[in-house]
Amino acid sequence: MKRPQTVLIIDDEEGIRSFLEIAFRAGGFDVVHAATAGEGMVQFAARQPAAVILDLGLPDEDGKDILNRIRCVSAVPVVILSVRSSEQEIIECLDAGADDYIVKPFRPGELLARLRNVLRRRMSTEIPRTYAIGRLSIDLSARTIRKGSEPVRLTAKEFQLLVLFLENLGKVLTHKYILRRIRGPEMASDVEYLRVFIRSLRKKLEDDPSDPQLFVTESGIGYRLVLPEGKGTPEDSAVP
Amino acid sequence: MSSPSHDTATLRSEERRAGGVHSGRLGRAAQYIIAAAGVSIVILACAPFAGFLGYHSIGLVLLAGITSLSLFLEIGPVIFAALLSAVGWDFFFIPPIYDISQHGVEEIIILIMYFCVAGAMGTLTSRVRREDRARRRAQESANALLSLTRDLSHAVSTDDVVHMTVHNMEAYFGAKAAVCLLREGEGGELMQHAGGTFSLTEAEMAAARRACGSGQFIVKEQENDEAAAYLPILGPRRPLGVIALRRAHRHASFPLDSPLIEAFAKQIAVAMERESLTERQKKSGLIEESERLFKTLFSSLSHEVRTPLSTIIGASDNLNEPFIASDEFLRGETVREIQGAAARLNRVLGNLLDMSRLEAGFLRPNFEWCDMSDIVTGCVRTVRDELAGHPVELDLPGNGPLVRVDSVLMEQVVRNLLINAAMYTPPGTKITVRARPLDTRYVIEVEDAGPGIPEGARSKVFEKFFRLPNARAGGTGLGLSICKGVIEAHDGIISLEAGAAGGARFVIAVPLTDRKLPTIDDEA
Repeated sequence: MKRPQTVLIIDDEEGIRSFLEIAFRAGGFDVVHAATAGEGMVQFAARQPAAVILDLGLPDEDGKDILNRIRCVSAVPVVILSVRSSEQEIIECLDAGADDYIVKPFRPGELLARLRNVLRRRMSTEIPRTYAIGRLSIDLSARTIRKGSEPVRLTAKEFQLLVLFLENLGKVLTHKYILRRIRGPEMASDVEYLRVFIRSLRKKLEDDPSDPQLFVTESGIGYRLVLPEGKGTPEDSAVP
Repeated sequence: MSSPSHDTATLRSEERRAGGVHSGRLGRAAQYIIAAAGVSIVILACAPFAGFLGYHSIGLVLLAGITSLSLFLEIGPVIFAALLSAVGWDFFFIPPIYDISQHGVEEIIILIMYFCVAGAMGTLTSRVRREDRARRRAQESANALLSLTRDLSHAVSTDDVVHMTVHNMEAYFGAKAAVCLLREGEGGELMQHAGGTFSLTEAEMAAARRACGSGQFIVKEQENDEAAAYLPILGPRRPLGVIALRRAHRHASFPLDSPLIEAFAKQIAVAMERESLTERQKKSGLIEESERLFKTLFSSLSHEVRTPLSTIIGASDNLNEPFIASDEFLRGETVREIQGAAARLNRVLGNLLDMSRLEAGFLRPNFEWCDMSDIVTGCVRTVRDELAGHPVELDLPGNGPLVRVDSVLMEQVVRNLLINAAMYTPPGTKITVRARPLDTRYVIEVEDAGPGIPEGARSKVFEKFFRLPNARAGGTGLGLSICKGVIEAHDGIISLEAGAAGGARFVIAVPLTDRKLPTIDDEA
């Protein structure tokens, strides 16, 4: 039998820790928790968790500092818990290497889904070369994309952006990150360019560009490529 | 403004201020030297003509010289020059030359008359000049005072008054100024205002406190960089503060100890008193307003918070009942009740937090170029649960211009409008969202096909805590005023109109910066 994976929850709120523990155990995880950053780091070293759920509002240390300390020693997946209106902090954490974030109040089911997504992404060492997403079939090796039976032509930059999203399937990408990867570090603040870019990508790939289902906007933070519910995942998407 | 008289006046005042004996003699001595030099030059200039001109003509030339000297010298040096030129005339030109004593009666009379005329002319010119100068200085003082008064009358806050004071002190007294204000109340501290052009040292603060306490104008001899004068600002009821002055340069229109400065202080005191009264009045108005808000807030909140809380408490108690816990349907219903109440509580608290951020002025939009269509579709997605049963029709441009807004705040506004439309219309009522650029603005409309809002209430819906008399429970009366606050922070307008089908139509218009879309420079 597979040993359950351990999740470390660092949150100073007793209630949140306890309901997350219930949800995670129900979801097949083992749970350790810590109420402070200091305790969290001790637990982190002792238990070597498979993932960390980190609250930004801890009493003893800034969430971003803990993230940096974790990142110094490990590439373990980290999901940030935050409150609304701290977009800047969320962006900083994502840029500092957090894998995902969720805003309080949230449903544990949603957090569990995010966590599974992050873990799956981390486990797949190889990026699949073919995808079937909704009506789209994408073959990265052959650089061909079809929407239904129609071939879709992307520009070189659009293709590059699509690959970036596919490599980070389900993960939110900050504006800065995308721009740095697509246009280089000196253009990292040109959000205007990114908006137009995303618009053209949606126009070519979405079923209804005015109601995007794939390239989802995370307001004030970035974009995320999500799979339409119940439709193709990279694992079962081998296109013949 | 740099006539000789002017320089002399400054020079004299400088002497007086410094009070030093040496510098006093220097100015006067310089005048005598100029007088002697002037007379010598005229005599030397006349010397070559002595051979063929009569000494009478030369006397007239010397007289002209004295007259010109009197234009810029004081009376003493002018008389000295007259005496000198009389002696010089006699010695060099009146025969016998190079001899003072051997003259006939006529020569002696001419000489005496010459001295009298020269002296009288010089004195008169000098006096006229002095009067003229006094008149001009009075005029300048009046102008300076007028300029100060005009500046002060434009001031709308104490900060403005301080700014104007510093500016005028620099302009007319050539002094850097720092303003200290006395806090109101018992044992009020003297605090330096940030608007000054230098900061006071501890010693200078002590001197300022003395000036403020005594109400006396203190002028000090300036050493190093110390403040040279402390001018108390005396209000009608109490001292308001002190202006500390450091001489910055010598070419000022007025000395620091001229009576004008006291007049300045009086004007400044009046302006400060006025501003402090206005501020106090404003503050008491604010307190009244916030008391009213507080009361409304409490009556509204105790209801809005307690209702969902009682649902949560009651429903979770029910979950402990074996009867409910064992029945899958009842359990599901109870859990849904708890979830609904929690969502409602979350909304109430969210509104309150937003409102307090708006009120406290912490809300500063983080402007970015945004795609409005994207913002609207994002909103519709996030409020899907709250919109249950209401079909939403979107009319969005596929390729509209980008708009400079805060996407998070903008989303919140649209979300609030959507939730509002869903909450206050019968289930199943259609909601339409339209977005489009219109001239210099970008317009978003959220329209419902519900019963609409009576015309009389339309302008009131944006007021804090306003709720329609027959409104259903579940709102705080804050949502729309938050929308208004956010849109105004974007320099935009939000309004409520009657929709085409008689429903409510909320219209948001934010400025559209004319800017071409960037082109994506790459090859297929």
